[in-house]
Formats: sequence, structure tokens, C-alpha cells
Amino acid sequence: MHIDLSGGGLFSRALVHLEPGEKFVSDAGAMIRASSNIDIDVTTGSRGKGGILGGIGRLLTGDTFFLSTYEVTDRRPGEVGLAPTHMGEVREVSVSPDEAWLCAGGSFLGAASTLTLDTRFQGLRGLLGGESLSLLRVSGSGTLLVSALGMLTGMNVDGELIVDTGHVVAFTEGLSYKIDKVGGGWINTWLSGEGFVMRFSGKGRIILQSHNPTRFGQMLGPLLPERQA
Amino acid sequence: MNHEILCGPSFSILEVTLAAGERIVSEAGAMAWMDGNVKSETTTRGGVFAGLKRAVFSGETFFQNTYEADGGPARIAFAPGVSGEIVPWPLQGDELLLQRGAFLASTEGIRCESKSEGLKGLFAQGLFVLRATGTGTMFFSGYGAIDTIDLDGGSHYTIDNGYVVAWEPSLSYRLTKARKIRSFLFSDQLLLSFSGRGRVWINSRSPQSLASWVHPFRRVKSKDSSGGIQIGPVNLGGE
Repeated sequence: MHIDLSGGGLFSRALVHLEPGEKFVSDAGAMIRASSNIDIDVTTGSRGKGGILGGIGRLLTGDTFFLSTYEVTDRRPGEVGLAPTHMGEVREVSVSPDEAWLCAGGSFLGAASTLTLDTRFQGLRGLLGGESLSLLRVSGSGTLLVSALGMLTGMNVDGELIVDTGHVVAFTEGLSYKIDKVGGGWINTWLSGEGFVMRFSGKGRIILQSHNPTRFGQMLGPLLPERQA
Repeated sequence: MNHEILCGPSFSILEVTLAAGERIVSEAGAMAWMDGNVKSETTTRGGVFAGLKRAVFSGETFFQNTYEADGGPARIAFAPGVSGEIVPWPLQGDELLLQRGAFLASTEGIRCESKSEGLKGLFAQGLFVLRATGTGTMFFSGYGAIDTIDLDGGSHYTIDNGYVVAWEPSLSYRLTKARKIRSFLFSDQLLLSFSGRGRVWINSRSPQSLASWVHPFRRVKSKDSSGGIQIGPVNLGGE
């Protein structure tokens, strides 16, 4: 399996080349193209985890819960093209068995089927201010594809790092985190306009995105006509 | 006529230099800037009916503008509504099919008309596509990067209906779906399976997908302000 990433920063897309026997999984809406020898199966979770009901749980949190699995049906190589919704970058993350990653639900684009995706791993939802965070646990060995609104930047954490929840794309499980507010008190938090932050500590790797999709949505939404409930 | 794609690939703009007396046609609203000696004329090109068909069925504008360099050479620039790439494509009496909204501009010898694709189409934005015919150069655009897929007549190729920008008429396609029926029930993704020999252009982002994503961020209509459908004094429900 190898992946061609093209489009530079703004309009990145991934072309995943699969050899016979290899499988790739993506967010169901992300597939834009596939060669004829690719079988597309849409399920509610990788390796049967979660099932239909687990899937609906995720649907309610606002994330797409359907995962598509792509598999070559004959003895020739096949290809699948994936693209995220937002303008921005797509990047490969190489996951190794010694350390699992946690990936923000909205930033997950796809993964090799050799990885185990735990869609039931719940993050936080219904936070004040409409923010929510669902995390996908990705473990095993293989390639994970993440996407961003804007550009991606990775850094090593050794000590403490505070990140607005909307900028978190993925991080290694070895980092511990707690949800916190920026200011001293609740009123301060509210006045500052900063949402919730994740206070990371320990040693590990983290990938962040330059722009916060929730803020983007909150800017655009009110400019549109009201919707029916 | 010379053309140049500026600000590409992410924010492509088409700049054309016309010799004296040369003309170019665009969708109404696409002109971004032009020299002072450009004369413009707005017509339905092909008659009111053709204009109506284009506007109602293919998401293009009712009127098309024709620009002419008057008395000397002139520059004129056209910008698509979305950020992304622009593709110049020559036609020599053949035709090209375009997804709704993809047409940007063309030389005068090319006509665009609406074409019904019937139920086999089911494109993200309707059952009609644009058919460009004639001789000259046409310019079309898409949201994001544009990739080409060349089919050699052997195996077919599957493309999400929301990402198809243009294709050659030598290709045929049919609506398909993922193998398991449940995918069809729960997901709104429709796939087109192209076959034959020819080229398909796809873009790398979907305005539809962005709009669906923004939808939950819209304010919700409050209960007392929505009165349902009112016919005279009778309220037929609502919330």
C-alpha cells in the first residue's frame, strides 16, 4: 500500500493504492473516486465494533459515523481517492504498535485496515458553548490519514501544553490530558471567548490544525437563514 | 486570443487578451476586470428558450455575456464563484459535458445548452448537465484541485456524483452504489460508474459537502415564529 498526497496545503487529497488483499477504511463521505476493482462496503465501525446502535450514538454527536471499507476484488492493484470537506491539508501519520493515537473525530480521514479503530471511545460532548470532542482510538500498525481546516503542524510535547479543543487533530496516547478552562473562574472563561482547552502533560507527539472548525461554523451559521428544528 | 491562468492553482482566475474585434463569452457575473475598450453585450444566446433551459435546469445564468475588444486589443479577466482550478479545453466540432455550474467562459464558436440526463443522472445538483459544442476553447472550473482520470475502454471507474466536473461524451455512465444495500439507506452518497474511452475531470472539494457541514451551525427557527402553511385563517399545522 502506498498513498499519494497531492494538492499542497489548500486542497489536499489522498490517492490510496491498494495491493490485492489490502484494505483501507475511511469516513464514509470521504471517498471521491475508486477504480473498478475496489469493493466498497459501508459499515458502522471497523471490525464490527459499535454496531448499528453504537453508530447512532456517534451520529447524534454530529460526527459521521459510517465507515467505508475498501478492498481489491481481483489480483490487480486498485486505487481509492479520498478528500475531506474543508480547505486544508491532509497528512499521513504512521502508527506503530508500541503507541496508540487518539484522533479527533472531525479530523479522521482514513486508516489502513491493519489499524484498530475504536469508535466507542468517547471523548466529551455537550460542553458549554456548543463545543464537543469525540476521540477515535487508533491502535496497531499502519497508516492513519488526518485532515485539517487549514494547515497541520506537529510538535513534541515534553512537559505541559495547553491547546484549544478545536485545534487538536491527534495525539499519542502516552500524553495525558484534562479538559480545563483558560481563565481563573467560569466568568473569566466566558468573557475571554476562549472555549475549553485540553491541558496535555507528559511526553508524546501531538498534531494541531491552524484553524478551528467550530469557530468557522459559528461564524458562518448565523449568516444563513434559520433552519427548522 | 491569448489566455493566462493567474493566481492558480488554488485561486485561479482566467485572464484573456483579445485582439481587436475578437470576442469571448462568459456566464453573467464571471467578469472580474477588463480594459476600458471592452464592449459587452448581454443576450440569451440561442434564444429565450435556450437561456431559460440553461438557467432553470443547469444552474447557469439565463443571460450570457459576450465581450468584444473594440478598436484595439484588450484584456479581460473572469473568476469562478469557488476557489480552485480552471481548465482550458479545446473543442474541434466535438462536445464536452459539464456538471452544473462548471462553465466559466468560451470563445464565440462554442455553444452551451442544457441537456437532460434523465434519471440516470442524479447529479448532486439536479438531473441536467451542460453540453458544450462547437469549435474553439472553453474554460471550466471546479472547487479545489482538478484531477483527470483517463479511461482506456477497459475497466470502468467509480466517482462520487458530487465531484464530477466534466467528461467526454465518448464515456457512458450509470448510477451505482456500494455493494451492501444498507450503505444506500443510510448514506446520501451516490456513485457514478463511468465506462468507455475518454477523460473525466473531478474536483477535490464539494460545495455540497461544505454546505451540509455548515447546516447544523445555522440558528434554529424559534417555535412561535414559524406558523406553518397558512391558507386564509386556517393554519395547517406547523410546529
